[in-house]
Amino acid sequence: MKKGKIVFATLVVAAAAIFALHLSLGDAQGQAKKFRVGVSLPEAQNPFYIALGKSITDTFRGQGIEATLLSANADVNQQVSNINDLVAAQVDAILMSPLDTEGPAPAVQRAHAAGIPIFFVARTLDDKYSHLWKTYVGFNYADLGAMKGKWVVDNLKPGNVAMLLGPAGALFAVDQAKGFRQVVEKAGFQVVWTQNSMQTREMGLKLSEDALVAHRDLVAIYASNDDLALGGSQAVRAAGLHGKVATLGTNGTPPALAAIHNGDMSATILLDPIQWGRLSAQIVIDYLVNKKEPKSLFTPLVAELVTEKNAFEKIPPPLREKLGVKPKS
Amino acid sequence: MVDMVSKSSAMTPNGSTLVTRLRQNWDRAVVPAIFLAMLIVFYALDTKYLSTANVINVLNQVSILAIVTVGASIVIFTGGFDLSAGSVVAISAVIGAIVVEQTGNLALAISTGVLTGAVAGSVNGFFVGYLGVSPLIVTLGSLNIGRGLALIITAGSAIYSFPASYTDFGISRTLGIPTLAVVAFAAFLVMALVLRHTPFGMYVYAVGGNARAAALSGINVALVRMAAFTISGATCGLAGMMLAARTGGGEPTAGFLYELEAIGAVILGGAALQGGEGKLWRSMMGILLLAALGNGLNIVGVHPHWKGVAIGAILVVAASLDVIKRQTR
Repeated sequence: MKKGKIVFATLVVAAAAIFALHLSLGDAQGQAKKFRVGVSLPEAQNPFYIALGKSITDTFRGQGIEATLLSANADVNQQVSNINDLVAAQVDAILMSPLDTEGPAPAVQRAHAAGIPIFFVARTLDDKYSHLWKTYVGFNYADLGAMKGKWVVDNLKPGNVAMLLGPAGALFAVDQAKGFRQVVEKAGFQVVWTQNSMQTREMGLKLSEDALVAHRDLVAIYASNDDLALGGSQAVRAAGLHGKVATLGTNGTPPALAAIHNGDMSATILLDPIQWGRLSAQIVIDYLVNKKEPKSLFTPLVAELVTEKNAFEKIPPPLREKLGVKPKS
Repeated sequence: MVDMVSKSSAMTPNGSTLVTRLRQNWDRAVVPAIFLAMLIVFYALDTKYLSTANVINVLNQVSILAIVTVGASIVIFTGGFDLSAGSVVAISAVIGAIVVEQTGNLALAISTGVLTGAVAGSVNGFFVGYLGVSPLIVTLGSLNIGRGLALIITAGSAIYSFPASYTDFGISRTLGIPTLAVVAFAAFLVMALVLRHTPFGMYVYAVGGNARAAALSGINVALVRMAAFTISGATCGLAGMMLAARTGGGEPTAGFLYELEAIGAVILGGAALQGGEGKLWRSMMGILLLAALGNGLNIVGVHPHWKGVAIGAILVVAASLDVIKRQTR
């Protein structure tokens, strides 16, 4: 009896699902000219990807293109399912940010085999998969790391450096760290401590506390993003080393810019996810609507180093008062 | 508490008593032995491990997880399970941060944060206690709901709104001990006394040991279960507010996987996962061991990928020895 009920319920649900699918397909066929783009981003909780996702979908919708945004919650498996879902939904293009350089590749391959053009933004797959994507809009992350390294070399006396690497295996974290390391080690600095972690202020604080116990003579703490760096600067302050240990992040989030302006953090790299979103979505639109192929496999963006000198002007004016920052006299 | 007394009496010069006691209770010596061995190994590798600075550092770091572990222990003693702890920490911190941002009233923010946790816990407890849904399912649900809500109300970005006085409190010391650790110890002490000296404490173990027998003897099993989850939620709320004192704000991504650390600590403490058995101070020792282990691996600079392996191995060893002991009893 009970079993029969379950079977019945399952049948009802299945029938409803098939019916709904038919409706949506019929809808899509009815307006054949309306393009649908699938967007797959690695994390829903990271402010950077929230801004990126919003900018992408706004750009698409602003030009009458339907956009489905899926987030993977920092789980490769989930991104793979998301891409499979987009393939099943027969979207006209996929704009995505691969969670790491390998994991999503099989799913991207399937999408490619299904004839769906694929575009990357912010993160990309390993070069051996370069036949799979039309273009990658992003930075050379090693260059970002090198920019931070150059600041260290120009402003500090050679000494010990700790590195908060961010998530293990993520290209932006790995390459950025590599670029930084090359520059500082060449100039006589030593990387004495490294650790992978989630990119939160909490982890930045905890890891930096440990790093400062192990090496109280650190001259700088490198962090893969601003939240980690802000946690680091808090650990530096708590250890009574304010002003003695430089902290460097990436992203240019308003709290980090305020901290740099106030001398609590040393430098960051300003990334503008809104600009990335606009640019990457426009490339997809040009491809779909105007039949314009991207010029090359890599569409580079420009990054800017922010220090105490220019931090104030980079803080959006409406936020200045909220963050309690005043211009330097 | 009882164990502590019996153990100290085992230290009497009477050799035969010590031997028989050890023979009967060797399982209780496993975790302290691992702890001691760990201290020696890390100290041998780097003497800074047992420096005052690092001991204070570890006490600071463990205090937040210790409070979560207090709540997790009580739920496990009743035969329940709270997987939502980390998410409740996050949403409490976030709501506290919003309250202080809007009103500037720190006391109101802290009490709202703790209350948020208690409410979340009581919802868990209602489903588990009164509706009889498996705690695994209920708290798996609230884990996702809590994290999701924290992300929704913050739009994904952390809110750094606590005044400097509060973060100063977060790094302050009372009689040389980190104030946060004092708060954690107070929470532990209160709950330990409640468990030992109140009828509620007795009900907790009775419900966990045999819910049917407890019900037959007139105990309101549903209410005890709901109360246990409410306490767990409130401790998570308090932990969230302490985390805010360390980071200066509410991060929607904070507290990630706290539940697993807390449950691991309770297992290390030798509590029965099916409930009815366990001592709060042993759970505290478990969490201290996990924190000191993570910190030690950081101090001596073990490659980050090995951290999980080490922690997992210790958990499995401790739990297996416990099972062996039970079978040979």
